[in-house]
Amino acid sequence: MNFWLFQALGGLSFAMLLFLLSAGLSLIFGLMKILNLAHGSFYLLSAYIGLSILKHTDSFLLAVVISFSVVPIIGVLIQRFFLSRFHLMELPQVLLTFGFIFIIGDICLWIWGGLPQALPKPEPFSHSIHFLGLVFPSYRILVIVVGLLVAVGLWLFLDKTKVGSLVRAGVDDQEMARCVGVNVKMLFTGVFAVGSLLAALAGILGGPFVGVYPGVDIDILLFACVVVIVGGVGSLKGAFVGSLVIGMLDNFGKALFPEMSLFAIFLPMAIILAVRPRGLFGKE
Amino acid sequence: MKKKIFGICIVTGVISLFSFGIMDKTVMAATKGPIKIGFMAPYVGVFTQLGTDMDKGFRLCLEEIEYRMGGREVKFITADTEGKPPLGPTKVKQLVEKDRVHILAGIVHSGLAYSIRDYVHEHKIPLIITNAGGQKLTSELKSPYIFRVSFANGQQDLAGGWYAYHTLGHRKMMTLAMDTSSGYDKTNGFKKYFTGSGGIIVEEMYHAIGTPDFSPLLGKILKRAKQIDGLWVFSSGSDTVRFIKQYDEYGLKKMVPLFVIGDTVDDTVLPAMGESSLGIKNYSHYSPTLDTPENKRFVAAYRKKYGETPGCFSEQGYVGAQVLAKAIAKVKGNIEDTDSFLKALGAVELTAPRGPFSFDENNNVIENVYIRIVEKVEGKPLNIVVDSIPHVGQFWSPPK
Amino acid sequence: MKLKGGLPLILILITLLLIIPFLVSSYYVGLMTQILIFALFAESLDILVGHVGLPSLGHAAFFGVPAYVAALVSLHLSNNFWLCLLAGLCATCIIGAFFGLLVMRARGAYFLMITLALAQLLWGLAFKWTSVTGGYDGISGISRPLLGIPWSINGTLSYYFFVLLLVTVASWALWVIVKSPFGYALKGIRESETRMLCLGYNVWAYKYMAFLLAAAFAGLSGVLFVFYNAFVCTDDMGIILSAKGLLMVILGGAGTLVGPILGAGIIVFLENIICTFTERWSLVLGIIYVVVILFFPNGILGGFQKR
Repeated sequence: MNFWLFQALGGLSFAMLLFLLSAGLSLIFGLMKILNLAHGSFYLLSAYIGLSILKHTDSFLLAVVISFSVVPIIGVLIQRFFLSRFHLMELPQVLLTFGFIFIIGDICLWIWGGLPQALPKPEPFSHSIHFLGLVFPSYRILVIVVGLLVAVGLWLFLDKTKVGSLVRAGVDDQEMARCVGVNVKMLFTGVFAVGSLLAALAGILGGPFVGVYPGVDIDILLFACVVVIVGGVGSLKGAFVGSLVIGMLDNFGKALFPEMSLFAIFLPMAIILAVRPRGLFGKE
Repeated sequence: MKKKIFGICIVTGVISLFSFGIMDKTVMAATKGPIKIGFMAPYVGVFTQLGTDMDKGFRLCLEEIEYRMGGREVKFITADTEGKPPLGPTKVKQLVEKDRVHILAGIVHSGLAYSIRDYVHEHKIPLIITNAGGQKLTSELKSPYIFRVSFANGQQDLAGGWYAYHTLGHRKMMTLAMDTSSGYDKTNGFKKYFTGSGGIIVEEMYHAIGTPDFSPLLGKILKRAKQIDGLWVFSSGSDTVRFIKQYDEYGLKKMVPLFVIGDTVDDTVLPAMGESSLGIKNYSHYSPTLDTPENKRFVAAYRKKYGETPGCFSEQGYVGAQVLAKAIAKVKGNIEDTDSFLKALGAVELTAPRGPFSFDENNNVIENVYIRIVEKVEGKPLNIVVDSIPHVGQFWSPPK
Repeated sequence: MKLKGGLPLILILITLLLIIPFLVSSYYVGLMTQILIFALFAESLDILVGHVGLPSLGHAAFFGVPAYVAALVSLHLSNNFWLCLLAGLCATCIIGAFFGLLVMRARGAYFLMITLALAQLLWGLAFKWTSVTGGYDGISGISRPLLGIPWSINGTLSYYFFVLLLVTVASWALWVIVKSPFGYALKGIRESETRMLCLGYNVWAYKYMAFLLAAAFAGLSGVLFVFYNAFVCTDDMGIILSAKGLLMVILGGAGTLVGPILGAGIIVFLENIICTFTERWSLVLGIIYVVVILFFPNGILGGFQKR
């Protein structure tokens, strides 16, 4: 019993992290048809910024504030000045984002060096708690709670606010949205900003347990892509459910079938592609 | 228009290729000059700590001998392998064919060492391995050009496994190693005299290089915590820092004692691990607290130059340079006489910071294995030596 | 670009390719061998990207899998190059046939994501199946196989000429295919699938054939690579290689078939030379990607315009 609870909590905390990343990726893809490969780079940059701030000031709050400002600004700059030139031309766009992976990745390497690191945990959550006969780091519980809060917040935003309905309209049918007078350009920039903000949050939250190292941008991006494929493009529900599935499968896979653990995530993805190509909740 | 562009591109490309190539050939006409040592190590990635440590140790020695060996000037050229085997062939070609090095040294990762073994052998370049323990490099795939000053995977583990059973009294253990050939070889080395003496390994586990989150594995250990009396671990670089910290965080350190190979708690990663490392018993061929004049001198010099305590990898780099210096001095700088140079290398015997050093007939090192425990020394965690097993080679067997 | 007008240029190029290896050091001959191999890889990708209009972000799978298979065959079964090549091509065609079924429904950005994910699936398999693929360590100790004729391809120079021969033949074959009715049909599909459907073409079958074709030629380049490098690992089927292939195609000019050769030459050359000048070669590479897309979206040889 302990074993299953232990692994489930671990899987859940990883799933919440994936959700933060894949929600942004999925919305950006759904609305602008851009496969933003640099999404992982936002995670990377945010985690490194957090690392430096925490090393010098010990203030988690400051780390959050600064990375929440810097990363979305960079995201918006990339979208406005580079990606928007190639609207609906997926090949130039994807290669541009790939170029930014190298640029951001190398600058981070230059500034922070090659040694893999982990962000220190914020003081109130740096200890383990004992419950139900289990010892579990309280930080992971924090990640789960934050992830759930963000999920609810995003859902409320998309479902209940006017801006949210504009986004959903844009995802569903861009041409019509334009006809109805939606300022699509602003919408695009806005969604990209929100997406990069979510990735920044993932960087700060994930930094303490996934860590930050050269290459984490691509590693985490691949997980996010699998989630988007399984959950379906442009769907928040899809990103949430997909993250749960992949997060849990990854954790249990590593524990139960370590030789096949990577396969544990890619197999469901292949099945979805074969059986239901638009994902669990995707639109087509 | 298009054809013109195409033509111009081709011609420019060809001319540049041509000029680079010709430049290359003329510059390389000179042979006698400084001795060029090509050092391959990871300066990025999981094994960064190991690579930079080896580099620091090697450079310290070079500085002490004023960058001269056997009367000739020495040039130290580095190539970053990022710890990735695919970069092995690329970097070795760059060092040998472009930079025209005379000698190769370094290499952390065994997979990388294997990827360049044939090249080194065919091109007859002496290689001093300062870490990669790939067993075959000094057995089935041995070459007169390949020497190793560090250890063969499984070498110290032969002694470690025996010690775990006979002195520490472990009977049922689990093992965890990196999921690489080194991991398998070291696990097998540990098992040999542990299970050979009657011990039981309940489960062997392997973790992928660069695992950020060990909780699935920790859950497995937790499940068996009551059945076993110890956990053996081989991990290194950033992975081991994360593992030991998470092991402590999840309360496992109190439940299942650790007896690990030295890499897992190498002195250079102890600061990052902090309190989590205290009390961990381990075994290694070196410790910075070894009480010998040679080691004390080395540690003081290293601390003075770099402001930190040397670990195994630092010492391995240092000894690599020491061995080269001694051999080159023996042939009076004439490394072009390859046969004599190789013979001199194989015959090197010296008192290294780790103690007595010599090569066996496969060009692999014979050294002592020290049993250590991590304790606070002047407020900082360090490995202190509590016991030792002398003269351990790649095919060691326990005393009767 | 008509063949006749470009003929003198091609002859000059071939002559240079024949003479230069004797004048430069082995390091540069090695580079040229690499350029030829990746030129073929980029050409095969151009079939998908430039001719059918399917941007694949997983093409490296068709490079890496045959490389692994050829390596394993050469180590355990037979020292004959042609047998290893055949095995590699079979493997790549099987994978291509299977993946083709899964991806044919997708287009545009979806196609990108799906091909990426499928290639990563194979990557994950190769990474974890340590007993067969060596996992992170890869497979080393691969020696050059025999040709079955009295010409040894062991040396740097001899292997270079062997690769030159095969790549030239393969490129010529691709050229012929592209200029055939089949090739024009592919271009038609890229322009407008609906139009081709209306004209009575079995669009699905054409796309599938093109996918297999691209996979097969990429497979040839993968096999040539593994015997050049004497080593294969998961990097040889990863996303970075796939993206690099795309860049080579775009840089040279998608749809021109010759453009990607140029693109391959530039990228391989820059990669190898830049890293000797600066540690920040990754940054430079990233900037090159961005600059190329911004200023040469149609490539140096001006591939297709925005469709």
